Amino acid sequence: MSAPAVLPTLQPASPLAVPITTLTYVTLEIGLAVFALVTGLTFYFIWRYKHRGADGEPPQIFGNARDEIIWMLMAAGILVVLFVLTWTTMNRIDPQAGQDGTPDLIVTGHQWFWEASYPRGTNPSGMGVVSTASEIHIPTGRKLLLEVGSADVIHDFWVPQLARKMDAIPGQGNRLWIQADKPGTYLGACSEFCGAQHAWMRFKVIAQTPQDFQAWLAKQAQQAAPPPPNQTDVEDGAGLFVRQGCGECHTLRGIGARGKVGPDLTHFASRGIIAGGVLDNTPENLRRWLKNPQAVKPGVRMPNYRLNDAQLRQLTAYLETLQ
Amino acid sequence: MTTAPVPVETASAPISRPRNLTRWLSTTDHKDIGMMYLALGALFFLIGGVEVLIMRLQLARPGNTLLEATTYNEFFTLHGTTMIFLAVMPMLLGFSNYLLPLQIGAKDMAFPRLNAFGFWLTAFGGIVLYLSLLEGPPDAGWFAYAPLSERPFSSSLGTDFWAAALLMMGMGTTLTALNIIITTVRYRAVGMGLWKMPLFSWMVFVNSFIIAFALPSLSAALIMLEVDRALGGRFFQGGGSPVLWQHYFWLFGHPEVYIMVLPAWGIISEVIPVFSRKPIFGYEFVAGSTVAIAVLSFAVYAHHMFAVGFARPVNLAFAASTMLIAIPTGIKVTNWVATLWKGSIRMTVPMMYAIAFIVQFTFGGITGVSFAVLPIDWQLTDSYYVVAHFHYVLMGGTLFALLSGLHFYFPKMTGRMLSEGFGKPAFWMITLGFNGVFLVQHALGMMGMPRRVYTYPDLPGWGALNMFSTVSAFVLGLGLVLTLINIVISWRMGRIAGDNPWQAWTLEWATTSPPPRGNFVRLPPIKSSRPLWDLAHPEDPDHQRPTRHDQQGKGHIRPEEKGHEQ
Amino acid sequence: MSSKPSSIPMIPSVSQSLDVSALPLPPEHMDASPRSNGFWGMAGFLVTDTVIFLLLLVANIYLRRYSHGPAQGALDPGTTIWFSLGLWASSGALVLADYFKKQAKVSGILYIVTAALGFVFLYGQAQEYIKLNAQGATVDADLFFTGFYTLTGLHGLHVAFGALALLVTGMLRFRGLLDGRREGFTAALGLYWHFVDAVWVVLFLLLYVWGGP
Repeated sequence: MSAPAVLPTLQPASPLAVPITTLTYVTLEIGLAVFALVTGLTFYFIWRYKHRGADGEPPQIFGNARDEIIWMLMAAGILVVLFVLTWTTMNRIDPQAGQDGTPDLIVTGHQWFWEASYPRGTNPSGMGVVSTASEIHIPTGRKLLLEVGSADVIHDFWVPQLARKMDAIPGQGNRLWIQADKPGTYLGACSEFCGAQHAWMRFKVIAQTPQDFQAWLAKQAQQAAPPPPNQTDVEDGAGLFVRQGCGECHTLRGIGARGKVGPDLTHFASRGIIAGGVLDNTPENLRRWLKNPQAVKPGVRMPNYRLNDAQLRQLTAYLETLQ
Repeated sequence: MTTAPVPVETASAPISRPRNLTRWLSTTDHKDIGMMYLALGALFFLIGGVEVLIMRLQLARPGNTLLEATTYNEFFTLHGTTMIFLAVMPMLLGFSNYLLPLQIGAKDMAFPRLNAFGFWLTAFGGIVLYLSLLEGPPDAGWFAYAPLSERPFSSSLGTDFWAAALLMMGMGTTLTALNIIITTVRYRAVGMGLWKMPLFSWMVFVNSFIIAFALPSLSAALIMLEVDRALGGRFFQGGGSPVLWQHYFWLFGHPEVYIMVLPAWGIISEVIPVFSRKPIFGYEFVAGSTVAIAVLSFAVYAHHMFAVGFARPVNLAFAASTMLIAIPTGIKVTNWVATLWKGSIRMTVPMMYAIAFIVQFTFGGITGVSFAVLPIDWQLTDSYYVVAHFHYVLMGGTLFALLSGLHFYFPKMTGRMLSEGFGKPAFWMITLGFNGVFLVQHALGMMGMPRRVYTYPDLPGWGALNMFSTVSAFVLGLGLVLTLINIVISWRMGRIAGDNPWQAWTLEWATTSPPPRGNFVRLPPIKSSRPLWDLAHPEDPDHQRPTRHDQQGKGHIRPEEKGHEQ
Repeated sequence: MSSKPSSIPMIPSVSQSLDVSALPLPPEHMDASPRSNGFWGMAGFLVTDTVIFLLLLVANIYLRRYSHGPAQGALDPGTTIWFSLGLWASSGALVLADYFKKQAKVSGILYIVTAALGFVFLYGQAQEYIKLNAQGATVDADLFFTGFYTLTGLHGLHVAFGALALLVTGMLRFRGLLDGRREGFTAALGLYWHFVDAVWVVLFLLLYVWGGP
C-alpha cells in the first residue's frame, strides 16, 4: 500500500472527489488573480503617489458612479461563474441520495471512535452483522451509499480523498456517496469538535478489490475463533475478558459479549490501529493501552481496570488472536 | 497618569480627566467610557493572547504533552469567547463610544448612564466568564454545539458560567447599540445630514442595527440552552433538535462577524483619505454598501452549516447569498484602493496598518468566497483552512484596523503622539508574525488537519508547518508587546499633538486633544462631510464643487490640481 | 515623523479661523419628534425583546410536531383566560393613569391598580404552574412543555419586573414626587407594559388556543 497523500484535498482518488479538486484550483486561480490585482494596484499607487515633498493638496476626487457600477458588475460576473460551477459540481459529487433503501455502509460516530457496519448483502455465513471500528473497508470501483449517524454528540465524517464531508448528527441519518478507484489506504478524521478526544477520532478507509473485500467481509462475519488449545495465556485471557465484564461495553461475537458502548472486538487483531488512531495495534501498544487507557487517551470512556502484569499478558495474548 | 504639560492650543480649554478610582467607577462621560472599553479590551486581549501562545506551544510538535486534551479544549473555548466578546467587541465599542459623539458634534451619548451600565455589564460578564476557573472552565467551544454543550456531555458548571457571561455581555452590548442609534438619529449637529456623517460614524450606526437584531438571537439560544441544562428541558436534547441550536447560534454568529468588522472598516475609511490627502472615493457607495451588508449578514448565516446535510435548494440559496455579500464588501475594498489613486500618500504608522489591512482583509475575503463554493466548503470546513481564513479577516482585518485606529486617535485621546521609532518595528513584527502564523495554516487545512485538535499524528509536513506557525506567533506577540511599551512611554513622554496633528477634516479634530467634557465649545459650520476642509479652503469648499462625481475625467477637478506633483 | 507635516497645508483650529462667538453652540438634538429619548430607547429595547420572544416561539412551534407527551391537552385555557383578561384590562388602567397625569392622586392610584392586576396575573400563573406540575406536565416532560415554560416564564419575568416598576411609579406619583421632568421614564414604562400585554395576546393564542401545525 502506498504512503498516504500529503495534500489529500488536492490528491483525490475518487470520481466523487476529483471535481472538488478541479473546482478548488479554479477558485484559487480566480481568487489569486483578484488578490494580485488589488494588491498590485495598492502597491503601485503607494509607489506612484507617495508624497515626495511637494506643497499643496492633491486633486480632490470624490468618486465616479460609473466606475463603481462597472466594478460591481465585474465582481458579479466572477461570482455568477463561480455559482454555476458550484451548482454543476455539486450535482456531480453529491448526487441526491434518497432516504429509501438500505445503505451499503452505516458509519456511526462515538466519543471517540468510528464504527462501521455492513447491513446489506454482506453476511453470507449468516452469523451476525459485521461491525468494525476505526478501519473501514470498502470495495473499489463502485459508488457506495453511506449513512452517517451518531451515538452521542455531533461528529463529522471526513475522508478528503474519497468524498465530501458529512456531519454525524444524533437522531438524523445523513446520507452520502463514497467511492475509491484504486486499492489503498485513505486517511480520515472527525472534523467536528466532539469533546475531549476529538483529536484522536481518526480512521482509515481501506479500499480493496471486490474479491479481497468479499474475502475480508466473509472472515469478519465469522464468530471469534475459540482459544486454541495448549495456550494457557490465551485461554486465561478469554476467561478474564468475561470475568472483568468487558462485554458490558464491547461486542465479541462467539463468547456472548454484546456491549454497544465501545468498538466491536470480534476481529480486533485484524485491525492496524487502536482507539481512533492513538496507537498502532501491536502487542506492546495493546498492553500499554490495557494497563491504563486514561494515560494513553485521557478522557476516553474506557476506565482503568488496574490489571496486574499477568492479567495484562493474558488479555493481550487473547485479543491478539482475534484475527 | 501624570499631569501632562497642556498643549499651547488647548491651554484655555478645560481638560476633563478622571483623577481617581471613584471617578472611573462613576463616570458617565462617553470619552471615559470609551477609554475604559479600550482598556478592558486590551486587558482581555492580553489574556486571550497568552492563552493562544500556550496553545501554539502545545501544537508546536506532534504528540506534544504540554496541555492535556481537556485543558486544551478549555483554552480554545476561553480564547474564542475572550477574543470575540471581551477583546475585539469592547475595543470596537470603545472607539465607537469615544468617537461617535465627537464626529457628529454631540456633547455626549443620548443615555450617558445607560452607556456606563452597558460597559459595566460587559466588564462583569468578563469577570463571570473567568470565575468559571473556580468550577472548571467551559470546554465545549465558543460555539457550544448541542448536544456536546448539554449536561450529559459537559457536566461542569463552566458552560453555565459561560452562558451567564454571554447573556450579560450581550445585554450590555445591545443597550450600547440602542444608545448609539438614538444618539446618531437625535444628536447630530445642525447641518450634518445623514449623508454628511463621517464614514466611521456611518459604519458604527449601521453596525448598531446589526447588534440590535443579532444579539437577541444569541440570548434566545442561551436561554434555551440553560432551560435544557438547568431544568432538564428538551430543546436540543432528548428528542429536541441539535441543529436548531446551530440555526439560532449562527443567526447571531454570522452577523457577529460583521459586527466585528464594520467599525474596523469605519476606521480604515477615516485613515486612508487623511493620509492620501483626498476625500474617500465614492462616499455614497462605501456608506450604502454597509447597509446592504447589514441586511445580507442575516441572510447568509447557514453557510456555517453546509455539512449538516441540508437539502440541495437550501444549500444553494445560502451559497448564493454568501456570494452576493461579497459584492458590497468588494466595493469597499476597491474604493479604498481608488482613494490612494492620485493622492499624496504619507506612510505613517496608522497608514501602514491600513495598507496591511487592505491586503490581508482582501486575502481573507477571497478565502471566504471559496467557502461559498460549496464543494470546497465540504472539504475544508472545520479544518485549519477555516482557522486561517477567519483570522485573516478578524485579526489581519479587524485587529490591524484597531491598531491603525490606535495610532491615529491616540493623539486625540491623550494629547500626545505615539512614537514612530517604536511603531514601525512593531508594525513589521506584527505583520510578518501574523502572516507567518496563519498563511501556513491554509496549507495545513488542505493537508487534512481538522480544527480544535489538541494534538495531531506525525504526518509528513504537519510538524514543520505547525512549528513555523508557533514561532511566528511569538514574533507577533513580541510586536504587540512593543506596541504596549510604545503606548506606556508615549502617554508620558510623547510629543505634544495639538488639536489636529494629522490635518484631518472631521469634527473630532476641531476640538482640543483630549477633548473637554462636553466635547466642543463651539462648532464650525457643517455643510459637507469635511467641515474642517471647508474651513481651511474657504475658496473651494466641498459643497461648492460643481458635481461630486467626476464624469469625464475632468468634472470638478480644478485645472491647477491636474498637474499636481508628489 | 517621516510624513513632514509642515508640507501639509495647516488646517486652522476653529478658534483661530472664525469669530467664535458667532458660531452656534452644539445643539441639544436635531430631530423634530416630540417623543422623549426614554420612549425611543424603550421602543428600541422592545424590538430586541421581540426578537427573543419570536425565536422562542418559532422553536416551540417547530418542536411541537415531535412532541410525544402530555402536550397541550393538559392546559386549561378556561381558567387562564380570567387572569389574562385582568392583565389586558391593566393596559386600560395604565392609559387612564397617563390621561390623568395632572391629578397626582388619581393617576397614582391608577398606576397602583395597574400593578395590582399584574400581580394577580402572576398569582394565576403560579397556580397554573403548580397544577400542571402535579399532573406531570413538567419542563422536562415533553417538547411542548419545555417551550411553554420558557415562553410563559420569560413573559412572567417581564410582568414581575413591570409590575414592580409600576408600583414604585404609582407611589411616587401619588405623593407628588414624579413631575413632568420624568416624562421619559413614564413614557418608557407605559410602552413596556403595553408591550408585555400584547405579547401575552400572542402567547395565549399560540400556546393555549391554536393546536399547532
